[in-house]
Amino acid sequence: QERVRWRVHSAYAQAMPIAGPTAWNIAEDVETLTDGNFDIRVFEPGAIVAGTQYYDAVSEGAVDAAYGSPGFNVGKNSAYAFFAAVPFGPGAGEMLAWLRHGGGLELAQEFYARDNIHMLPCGILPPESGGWFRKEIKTLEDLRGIKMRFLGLGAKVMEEFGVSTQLLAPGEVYQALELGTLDGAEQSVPSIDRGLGFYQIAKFNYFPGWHQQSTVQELLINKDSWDKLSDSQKRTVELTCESALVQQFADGEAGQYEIMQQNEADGVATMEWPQEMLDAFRTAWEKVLDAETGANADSARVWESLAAFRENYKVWGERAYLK
Amino acid sequence: MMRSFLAASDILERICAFFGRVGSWLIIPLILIIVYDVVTRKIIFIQQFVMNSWLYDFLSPTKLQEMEWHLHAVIFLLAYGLAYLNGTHVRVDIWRERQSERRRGWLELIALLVLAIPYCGVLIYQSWFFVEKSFLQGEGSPAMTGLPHRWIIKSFLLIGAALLMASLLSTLMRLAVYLFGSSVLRQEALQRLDMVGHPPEAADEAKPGEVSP
Amino acid sequence: MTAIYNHLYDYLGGYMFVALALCVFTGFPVGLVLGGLALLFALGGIGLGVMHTSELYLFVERLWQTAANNQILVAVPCFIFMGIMLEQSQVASNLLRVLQVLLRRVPGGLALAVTLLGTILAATTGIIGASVVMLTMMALPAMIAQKYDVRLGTGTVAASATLGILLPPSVMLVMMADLMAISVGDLFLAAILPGLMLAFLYCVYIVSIAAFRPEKAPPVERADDEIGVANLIGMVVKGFLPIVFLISLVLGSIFAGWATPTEASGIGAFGAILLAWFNGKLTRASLDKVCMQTALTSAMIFLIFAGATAFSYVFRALYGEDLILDFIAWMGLTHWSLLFLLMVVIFLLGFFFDWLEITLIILPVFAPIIASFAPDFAPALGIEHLPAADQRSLVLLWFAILVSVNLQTSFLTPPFGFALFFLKGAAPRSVKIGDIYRGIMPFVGIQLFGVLLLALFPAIVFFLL
Ligand code: NA
Ligand code: NA
Repeated sequence: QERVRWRVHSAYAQAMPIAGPTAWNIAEDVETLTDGNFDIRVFEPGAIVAGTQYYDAVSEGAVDAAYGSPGFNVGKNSAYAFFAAVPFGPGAGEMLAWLRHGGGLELAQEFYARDNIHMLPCGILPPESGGWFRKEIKTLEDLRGIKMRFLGLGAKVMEEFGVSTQLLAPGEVYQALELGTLDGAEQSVPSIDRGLGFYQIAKFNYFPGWHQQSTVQELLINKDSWDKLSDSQKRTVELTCESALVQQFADGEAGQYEIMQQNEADGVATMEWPQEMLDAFRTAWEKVLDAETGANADSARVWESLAAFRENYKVWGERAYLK
Repeated sequence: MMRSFLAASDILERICAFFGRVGSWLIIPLILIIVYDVVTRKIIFIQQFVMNSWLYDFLSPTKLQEMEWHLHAVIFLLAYGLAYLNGTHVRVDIWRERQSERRRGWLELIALLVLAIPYCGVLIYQSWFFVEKSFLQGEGSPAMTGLPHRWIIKSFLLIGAALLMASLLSTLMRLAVYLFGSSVLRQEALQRLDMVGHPPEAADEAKPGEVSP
Repeated sequence: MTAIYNHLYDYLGGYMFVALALCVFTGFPVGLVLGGLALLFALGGIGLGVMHTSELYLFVERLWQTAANNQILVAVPCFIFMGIMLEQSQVASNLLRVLQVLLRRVPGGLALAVTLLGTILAATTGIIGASVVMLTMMALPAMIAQKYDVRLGTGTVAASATLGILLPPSVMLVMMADLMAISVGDLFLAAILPGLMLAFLYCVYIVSIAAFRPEKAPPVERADDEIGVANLIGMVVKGFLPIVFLISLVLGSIFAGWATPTEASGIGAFGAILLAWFNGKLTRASLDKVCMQTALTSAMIFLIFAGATAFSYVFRALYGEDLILDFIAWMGLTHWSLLFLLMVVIFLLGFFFDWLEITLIILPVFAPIIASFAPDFAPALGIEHLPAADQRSLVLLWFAILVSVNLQTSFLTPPFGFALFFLKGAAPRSVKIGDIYRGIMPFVGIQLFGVLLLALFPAIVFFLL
């Protein structure tokens, strides 16, 4: 059997907690399982392409694969957002159930295939934090006029309440927050936010992260590279991804409380969104969703599938779990 | 034939100069957009007024902030070609300035054929797919609240590379005339070849960025 | 035949340096040399089966991502515009004239003023292209006019303008924090004193040169209308007021939380237009000229970006970085000797690469190793009493700062110091690249001395934390 060598881009720096090492772990596992016949070289963000902008490089075959999240590809097709996370969307268990059994994965793979890409779900993160704020947010009125770094569909929801969402360069967010150019920012789960230093300068950390209740990670593989693999090599990659998915979910769930305790020791107030604000966010989200599914036929298809699945899932989900 | 080379090279230079000049003026809207964005960010009633009106489709901060780098990209890409013809691109000329004009001409010719033209050719070829892909995907901003139609700004990469190629070809033709043409035409060609003809001292007054007539 | 094939397969990346070192001295534009060589070696790599033709797509994708689709680089045209506008409207020359007159008794007064200006500029941007070009436009012609030694002038400008990457805000520090998983805020704080220390060392050097070799930094002769208190006050008002206005606009908008540093550059450019208008120098023709120069200078900078990003990609694709990593691993060193070797390697890489590429090669592999040596370094850093986790993060922080100063040097080391190219592109044509190369040498020496000081006295790094 011929030796395979892949170059793989990672959207996350290896040193980043939880999702950082995943791509490197996959490479190591694949190499071990194939007795060194399948060699995957993972590159740091920026080494081949910038962190989140790997889609075209995979599509063109300039890299064999890339590790990231479907949420990074929404510029290519906004329907990809639904495969990563949607506001008021499912948590990790329900999300996986939809992908596997509700037709989600088929849709995702259909869309990616248009650009010569094979997609594998390859990790899932727990809920994000609901954002970091310099001031306490007590009512919806407190949101009016504040400036926040916020991306994606959640940003459109925030704009409904007069939040001015900003797209500052990643390198400038920390200082902007420190000096008040920004009043707030959302980025990721607490352990990843910790590395960005938000706890030092924005002392109100809100929960729950209604905009992102779980985040699916992806391995995007150039179709030609994928088709060249033998069946056993393909299965090796698939199973390694499965293992990464479980590993990341466990790491993600286990890795937050300690960070939140540290944040609190550093003077951060851990806050909860009042119920009436969450209700208002949800109403606004439904409006944003209507606009999105109206504008993009792909989004409409995905939402139809996801909504149908969630409706059925309720029968079980609302009864089975303690509230 | 040699004379038509010179004529063609002048046309190419004029094309580069035209696009370079048009692009250069975009620095003014770039500055004004920044000023507007910064000022309205702190003047909340203006910000909220815009937010609640149809103006927000054009003037949301995310769109403005994306427009900033869009303009920046257009400015430098459109000037690629003109900067080569004007001799703005940096050269390490320690050894070169001691060579004869003739030898400098040969050096430039070889470097154009071996290094610059193939590289620029790859840029043009690949950026075609780059733009085409973006167009077919209907690519927009990954921020979702940003500017749509990414293929427009991406196509300036193609235009910039094409202008660079135009300047390289223009110089190639002039070099051909200078190296292989009749003695009269040689002089005419030499006058158009800044990098070959004038020793750096003679151009002391010229600042980088001065447009040659 | 197979032997040659195997040799090339392993070492093609290494030959890229040799080719680059030779070709750059042909005097062909640097950006096109880089891009052209990248293509030739990529073709070689494709021939050997190390690379694939589809990777050429990355020449375009990387140019797009590094130069165009980059919010922070918007500061480049804005600062260039500001620099040219201030020079055109004589605001810059008025300022420097006042400084010359006021500082005429201070040895090297003008060079000291340039260092101060560079340090202030450093607090407003972390983009080298922007600060080098702006400082060159504003200060170099005045230094040459005052018969300063060109080498001292260019060295001063290049070194002080690159402080911007060390003093916050700085993209480089943000990126390093990301790669090493340390806090941006801590790294910003830790970088302040080392940056100021370097500025101070430049000043010491300038004063000693001016004292011992006065012909290199001649004191100014006052004109008749510059003698007398009344004249002097008039000069000061005319020279200082505009620039104080502009600096407060730029720094003020950042620290009042109105603008990010990138946006502050645009505010500064707008302020420069206002000053030109106030001085009666704002005409259509002058504006046209400033815009044109801005566009051409930006094109100069970003053609180098285009070539460099292709070159460094091909180097990586040919497994060039493995050559470096394998060599360091092969040495099998322990803590101090490893640190020393890393510093030497980073310094040498600086002859050819930009900070981004160097950090991507070195940090992911060696930061964890350095961190694992934290208990060994702790006594020398005076932190052995702290818990292991704190020791680890402080050692990483100290290491990051040592690397940062070393990387700042990478902008200054010939033949491939980007700061030197930007300076050459913005300087009057009489300034030779050879002079720039020679002028920067003493400052490179100062940089290395700075690294040594920080290694021996870690307190400079930890003091503000
Ligand atoms: Na800075
Ligand atoms: Na260098």
